[in-house]
Amino acid sequence: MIDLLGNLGTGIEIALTPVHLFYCFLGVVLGTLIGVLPGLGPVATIAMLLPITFNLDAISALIMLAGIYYGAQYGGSTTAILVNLPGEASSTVTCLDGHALTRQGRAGAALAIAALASFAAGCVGTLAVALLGPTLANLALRFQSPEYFSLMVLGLVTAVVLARGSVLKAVIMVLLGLLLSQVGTDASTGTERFVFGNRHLVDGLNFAVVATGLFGIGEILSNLYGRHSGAAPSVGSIGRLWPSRSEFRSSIAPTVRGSVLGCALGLLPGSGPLLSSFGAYALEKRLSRTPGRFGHGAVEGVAAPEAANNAAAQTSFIPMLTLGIPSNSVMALMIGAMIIHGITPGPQVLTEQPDLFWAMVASMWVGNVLLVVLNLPLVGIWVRLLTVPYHFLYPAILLFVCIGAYSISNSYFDVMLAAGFGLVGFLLRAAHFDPAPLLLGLILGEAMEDNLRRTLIISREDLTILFTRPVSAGMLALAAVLLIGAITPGLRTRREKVFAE
Amino acid sequence: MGSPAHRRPTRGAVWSSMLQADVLAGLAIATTGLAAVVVAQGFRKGAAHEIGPAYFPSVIGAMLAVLGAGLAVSALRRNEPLSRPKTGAVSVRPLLVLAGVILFAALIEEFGLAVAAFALVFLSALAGSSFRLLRTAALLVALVAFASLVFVVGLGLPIRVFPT
Repeated sequence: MIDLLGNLGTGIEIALTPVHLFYCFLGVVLGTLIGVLPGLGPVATIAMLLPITFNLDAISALIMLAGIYYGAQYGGSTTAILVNLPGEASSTVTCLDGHALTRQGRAGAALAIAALASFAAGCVGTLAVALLGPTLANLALRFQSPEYFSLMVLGLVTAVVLARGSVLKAVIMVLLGLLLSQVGTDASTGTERFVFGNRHLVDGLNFAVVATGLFGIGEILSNLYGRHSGAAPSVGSIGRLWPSRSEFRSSIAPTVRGSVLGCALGLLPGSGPLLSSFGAYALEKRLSRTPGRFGHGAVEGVAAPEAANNAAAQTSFIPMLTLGIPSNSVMALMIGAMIIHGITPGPQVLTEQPDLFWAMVASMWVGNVLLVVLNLPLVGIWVRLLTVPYHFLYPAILLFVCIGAYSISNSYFDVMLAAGFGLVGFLLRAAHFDPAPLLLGLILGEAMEDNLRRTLIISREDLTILFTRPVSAGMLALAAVLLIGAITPGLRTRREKVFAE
Repeated sequence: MGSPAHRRPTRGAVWSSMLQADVLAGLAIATTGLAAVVVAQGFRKGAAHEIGPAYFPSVIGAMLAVLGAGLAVSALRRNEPLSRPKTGAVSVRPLLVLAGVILFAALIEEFGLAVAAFALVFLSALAGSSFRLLRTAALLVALVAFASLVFVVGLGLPIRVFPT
């Protein structure tokens, strides 16, 4: 406990140096901005801004990227409450009661409740990361290749189970990602694979290029074909910014429950924040003595999912920081950023780079403070941004996406690749494939093959070693149970019901 | 967008829409998987005690082939229009965005940011439903100025703004 406080103290000290504070600030502001703007998600933004962070030191870079991530979460809720448009998928449920409050002229109260619940949950989440991180890292230090391989299988299976849409399609996406990870020179044998004589492909596909294409360009194409007509939403008045005393009191318990649920679900690979906000809303509705109020402006229906998705956003850092396994596409990009800065994500980060680890944990808390302090007064500006018409927005996004893709390695070929993956992303969406698991497969592919190889060397080409080592067997069994559960009819309908809303 | 959005699909339309979505997707994926397996057979074989470079891609490719075929078959056997594609028979106009990105890539090294951005911004603006010349020109000037300041001056990315 003393250790924990000492470490957190050091972390806060580092996070509060002016440079780091500045990048944290920049991150949360940019994050909120893109959370508010329609048609631009955190994945595309981080992929786009990744080259900018090349010039920074590792701590500043990761602090800023993390800020973008939870800032986007926050901005997404703002638009959900004000104009009934969830900026991020995880704020979809916030629309229900948050926007109902807006229609009653209580938008200010809803925004304040959302901000305070997020902040409280952010504190809980930061503590959870600080407590669980070192424990998990110690455990993971004893992992060997078989355990790592099985852990990655488990990670990919959870991503499949939690992806939107058909399980079969999600599995296909993961496999496609794994296949794409094979492009380039094989690290252990030097064989060039799927290069087809193109010198640009020798180093493999850069995940940031693939992500910009799939999520940045692909989403713009989908929007141009789909719903974005260019008409900007109209925003009513915000009203008094503070909730009444009774509203405040009745959101305390839901915030606590939402935080705990979010912390737990955030650990799961896949879409933790999304699932946890749905879960927290459903839980509050079930516990409430007056479930009829939900959907008509119940503050509990704002506090609980907001707390949950923010807590989940924080704890989703745990598998990334301690195991090197990304739990979602944003974390996958963070891993890429760490690798660019010469840090191999995994349990050794905590022992070899304690400053980095604790500064990141502390910066999450600092970022949450900044969000509350800055964003409530600034809400008017964010609202104005909502009224920027799409025909100005998407050419601008495209230009930044192109500059970003180009500057990753100053290669025009990367920009062409991004265009290609933009088309792929658009076609996948049109055919109802969720491209997020693909990115996860792409990121994990190389490490997975590597660990499988080592496993087979340890065991002299005997795959049963994966089932005879207890930890590895346990993870594979869990993966099997999850997969079977997702395919079985009873659970499948429940899963569809959760995502249907 | 070309066809009315909420028309109840006839049986023929159902079949054709399935052909466009899951069946086509499944076939494309199965073909990709098979192709990967075939290409991987050309990779150097590994030594006796290690798995060679062909092992992993072959396994993944084979799984893709099987699952892709499974997706296509199950879509053919379904009768309801589960995944009607949003596109249908519509204009290729939004695809101008891709042309813009490719032109940007082709121009950026030779001619610098201003020219590349010109191609990108105008083509992508044309991809939208309401194109206006002056509005787009103003947007272009603002974007080039902003991007040059932030990326070239501020961050020092090695990108030229104007052709030399």
